[in-house]
Amino acid sequence: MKSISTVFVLFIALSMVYIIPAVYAEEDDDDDDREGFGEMKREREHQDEGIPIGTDIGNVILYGTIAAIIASIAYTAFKIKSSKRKSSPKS
Amino acid sequence: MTVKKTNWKFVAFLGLLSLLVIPPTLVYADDGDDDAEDIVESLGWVAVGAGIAANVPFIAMNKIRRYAIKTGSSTMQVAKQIRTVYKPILNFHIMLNSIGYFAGMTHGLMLSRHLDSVSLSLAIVMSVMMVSGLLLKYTSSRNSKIFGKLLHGQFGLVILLASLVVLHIVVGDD
Repeated sequence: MKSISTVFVLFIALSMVYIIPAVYAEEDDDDDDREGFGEMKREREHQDEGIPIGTDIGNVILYGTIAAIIASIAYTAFKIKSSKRKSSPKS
Repeated sequence: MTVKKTNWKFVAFLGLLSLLVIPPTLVYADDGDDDAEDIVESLGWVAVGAGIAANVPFIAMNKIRRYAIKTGSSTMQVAKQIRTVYKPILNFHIMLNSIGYFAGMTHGLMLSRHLDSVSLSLAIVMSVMMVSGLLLKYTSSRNSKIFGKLLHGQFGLVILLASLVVLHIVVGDD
């Protein structure tokens, strides 16, 4: 019974994630009704945005993140190993 | 029996998620429609909101509890009171973070044509945090639990995630 109610609550919550943005998006659908104009404007907007993969800053961010994750996993593993070594009695 | 029940719940959860995540992704994925773009953008904000709502109260509660235990007998009552509400707040944290993760991932999949370094880094960090959280919640091995706990609570990863979210919003707004 409890599992059914959990799944139901989850279902409602996840449904809301999709319904709420869709309702908000419906409200302003009159903008850029001239098809070509909207298309061109959007393409121009997308050309300017973001830090593309392969650029210097992009590579620094991406490799920096991967290095940080590897470092934190290694640090965690090292911490567990060292605490185990401490707790085990010396022979 | 318990293992079977847990498996059933897990399969039902995954099935439900796939049903809710994949069809909208396929329907709206980069079709060039303005409405669809608004929905995708809103999904990103849902992910940010869910992340803030799930993590700020949880981290604050943990900090207060640790402080109360550290300071001694006078504040021990506060620590005990927090202990009674810990489980519901933990469930709230897990549920909202799951919603935020899947909303964020759907947002990313729908905008995969405009993938940049910040988005990719953000997706990687989010996935690492999610996997460590799942490891912490569902594994029974002692070592995996300790590993999950240490990795999930890494302050550096939390800072990295928060700064990538801010950078993603700033870059996306330009």
